[in-house]
Amino acid sequence: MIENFPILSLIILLPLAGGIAVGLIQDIHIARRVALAIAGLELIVTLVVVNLFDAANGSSFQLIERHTWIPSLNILFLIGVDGISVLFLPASALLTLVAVIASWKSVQHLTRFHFALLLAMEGGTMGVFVALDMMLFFLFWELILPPIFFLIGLWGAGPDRRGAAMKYMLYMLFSGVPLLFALIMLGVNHAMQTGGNVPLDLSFSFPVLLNTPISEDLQKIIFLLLVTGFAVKAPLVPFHTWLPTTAVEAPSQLTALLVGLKLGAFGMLRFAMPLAPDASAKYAWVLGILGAITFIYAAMIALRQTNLRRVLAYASVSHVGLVIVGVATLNMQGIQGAIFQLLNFTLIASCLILIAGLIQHRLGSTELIHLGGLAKIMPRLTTFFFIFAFASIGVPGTSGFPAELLLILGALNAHPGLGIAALLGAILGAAYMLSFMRRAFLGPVIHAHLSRVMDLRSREFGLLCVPASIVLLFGFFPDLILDVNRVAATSWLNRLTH
Amino acid sequence: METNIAFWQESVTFPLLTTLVLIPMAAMAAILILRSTSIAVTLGFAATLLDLFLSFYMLSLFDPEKAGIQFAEQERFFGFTYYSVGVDGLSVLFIPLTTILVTLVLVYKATTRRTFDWKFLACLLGYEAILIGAFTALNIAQFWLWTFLELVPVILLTIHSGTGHKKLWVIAHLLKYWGWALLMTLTGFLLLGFGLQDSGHPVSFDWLTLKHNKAFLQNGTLIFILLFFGFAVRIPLFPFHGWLPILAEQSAVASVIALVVGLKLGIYGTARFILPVVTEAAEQWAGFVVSLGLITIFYGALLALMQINVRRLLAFSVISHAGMLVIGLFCFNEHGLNGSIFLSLAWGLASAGMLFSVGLVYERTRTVFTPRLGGLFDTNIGIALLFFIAALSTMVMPGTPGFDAAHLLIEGTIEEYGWLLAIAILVGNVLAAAFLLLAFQRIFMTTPRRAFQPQKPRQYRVRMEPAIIITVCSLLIGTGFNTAPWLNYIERDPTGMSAYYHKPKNGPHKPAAAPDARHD
Repeated sequence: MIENFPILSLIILLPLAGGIAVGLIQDIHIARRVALAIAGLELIVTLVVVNLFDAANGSSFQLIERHTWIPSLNILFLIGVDGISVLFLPASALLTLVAVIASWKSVQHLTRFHFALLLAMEGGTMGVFVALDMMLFFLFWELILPPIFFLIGLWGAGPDRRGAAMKYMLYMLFSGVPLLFALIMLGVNHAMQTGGNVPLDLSFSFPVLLNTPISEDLQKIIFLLLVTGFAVKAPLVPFHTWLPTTAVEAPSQLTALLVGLKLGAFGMLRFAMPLAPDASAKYAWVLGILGAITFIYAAMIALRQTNLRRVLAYASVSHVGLVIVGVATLNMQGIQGAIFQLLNFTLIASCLILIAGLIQHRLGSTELIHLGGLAKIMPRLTTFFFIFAFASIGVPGTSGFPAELLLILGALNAHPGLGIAALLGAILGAAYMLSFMRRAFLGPVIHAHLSRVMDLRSREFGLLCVPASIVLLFGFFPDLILDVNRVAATSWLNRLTH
Repeated sequence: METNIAFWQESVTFPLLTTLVLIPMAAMAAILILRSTSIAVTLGFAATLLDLFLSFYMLSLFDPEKAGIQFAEQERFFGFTYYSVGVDGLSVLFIPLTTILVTLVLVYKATTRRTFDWKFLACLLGYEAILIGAFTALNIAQFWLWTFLELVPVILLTIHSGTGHKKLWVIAHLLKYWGWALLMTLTGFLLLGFGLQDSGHPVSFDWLTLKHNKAFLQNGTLIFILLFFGFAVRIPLFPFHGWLPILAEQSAVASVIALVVGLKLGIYGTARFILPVVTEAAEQWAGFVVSLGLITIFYGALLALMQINVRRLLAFSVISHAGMLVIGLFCFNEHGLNGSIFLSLAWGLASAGMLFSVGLVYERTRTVFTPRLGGLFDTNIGIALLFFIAALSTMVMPGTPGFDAAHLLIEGTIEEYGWLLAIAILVGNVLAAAFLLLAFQRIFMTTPRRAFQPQKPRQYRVRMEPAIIITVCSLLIGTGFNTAPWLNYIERDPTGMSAYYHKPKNGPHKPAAAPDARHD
């Protein structure tokens, strides 16, 4: 019975319907609890999906649901998961749950709408991860934007939140242009290749498009368009400028979601490279160089920042660069490291941002001159920050270590230069993180009034315990993740390097 | 190629299309005779609701699988077809949209109660009759007459319920623009009608006859230029757009202008009377038209970005989008045409939705200047969502009806004009997103700079507002996620128009949907 249950549709629809319900409930307290319940239920359902997923068969799509949606353009409602995407579902669900709890009391203004938007955004994100029809994917991809627009604009922490909301929205809409183009080209190419009629024999189904031959020239264009589109979202240098602005202006729970959900890198891994395999194999070095530049450049900027949230934003950009390097290596270590690191950062980057949000909430600032000696005042908060920061650097024992190790190994295998760049970036990463930690958390308490600041509440403590223990768990047992995506990663590689 | 004609007797027991025109007309006549507002309200609502019901009844009977004209009525006088109406895939969805929008305008007016009297109702009903008449007319003389009559309600309503201080100046402008346009279309239509005389055909203003015998037409280029420039004013295309921003600014906030921009008569006229009839000339001039469309997109978008008056901003947004619609029409392939028509329906509804939202804001604040607005999101979330969802449809977000239409249009453009133009269109569309979102932020999200004195007239019926909001939003979202049945109406290309189109030069894999053009 469970085999036929449309569980992936449930994953998409549950938060969307929940969002509407939360918006309609009059009582704020009940609405908040309903939001929490939906987010929790969603996490459980995603875990059930992971349980149902057959990792040994991970290269093929599973739990597929298929319905016609727009027959005239041959657009399907086609969803399914494979070894690459399946683990992103619980990671995103956990992240949303954390975001809901983190904003439990801090949102006093239009509370119901806020939670409704968080849930709507979760539904859209799940859709992005499971969509197997390119147009359906694009639908969800764009469906995430309106909630984010409101979340930044209405509840942002900074004075220029509305400007940041516009900036984010326009960046993303512009990035949608090359994406949509590439998708239409793919569909039309399919019709041409099968010798069919343009409206009737278009196909946007991802599994079908994977098997459609594409001429080399067209592959180049499609690869370029898709990479450009995803690079804005990822973000890669030089398209990264929206993220620091957003990180400072947006509410911390949203920034956590934005840096945590690595949709751009996922798109690169899932769609951009497999859809144009020859071009990807040929031009992977472009991605590698772009990734390495992003990795090192963002790390160097992060070294110079004085605001914790900006440091974390650039750290996030920098780590996406490393992931892209891993994808571009086209070897097993690189690709597995990339998937691992993406999942990893869903938790690490977003929890660091959330902690920064807690500091902001307590002190009214995350600027370095207002901090100093926080470890004495807030030992519990500092402990958590250190756990996540060490994971971000890649200290052994945290989940950052196996991921970063795999990535650097992969890079070294692919090209010594790339490996050295990755190592250099990793050192820079340790440099900015440690130096900021030293200046902000260690040393004497400079500002006397800080001593009255409260440490973590028990709700916040419990909230951070879960991701922290996951970080440690996967640090010691990385195979739990690597086993799930091994088969999928192998077949992914075979497709590109056959 | 012959066009199939199914007469009304085949599907209904009464001449449905004429009834659709006559109901509002009769109600208008009754209101004019009785001159009582209370009776007029009842009559007005009864007539529009009946028309709404009948238009959907017609839609339910309309068979999208069948090519050609349906519900046709032809009365012959003096040897040539004089009165001829009918609907096909091109026009069938415009009629329910008309009845929906007129009903919404009525609800909006009944909500706000501003200048809501028998004069307004008579004009509105007359306007409804004129619009339905124009969308069903299959005789060019008849069509011209309806477009001419359109001036009357627009002017009367502007005088009667406009909010500007320079109404007469606006009307003078409007008369100048529309007057020239009507003269040009009249000349074009006359040339068309008499154009067949030399080849031994009788004078005919019947669209079917003209379409059928277009090979014998003379002065094709002249006719095209006259008709195109005539319709370009109504569309409105740069540089003939000057009347729209001032009309939007000075006329009634959401009633007249919602119908003028909501029902794209200019686009419809171009698709119906230019493309199938003077195809060759249209193809020759396509490059020029497309350049004009491209200029319109960016010119309108840039001017919209500069506006501080939301009503002017929406007018420029309509202008900017008109450029895209025209490019779609002049792709000369099915995708472009279908996309353009569906997009003009979707955008019509969306721009009307935004105008209603702005109108409701105006009722509360008595201003539409963005520097004076702000912070309305907290207090009026429904109005804000109406604006936002309509704005999303206008910037063709997936999940709104605009997306599939734009998708078709882009495919058509790529097929005919290549990638660059399609990218330009999409970039123009991102600009549209920029000014609409900016306007949204300024109206609803910024901190208000002045304390509002909420003005609620005693009779203001706030309870009726959700009817407008829910109708527009559910129509947009409902059709957005379920476009297929609606697209189906347009898609079959029922007039067989594609057979008249030039076959694409670069589409070797495209077997003709219809058999090769059999010119007689």
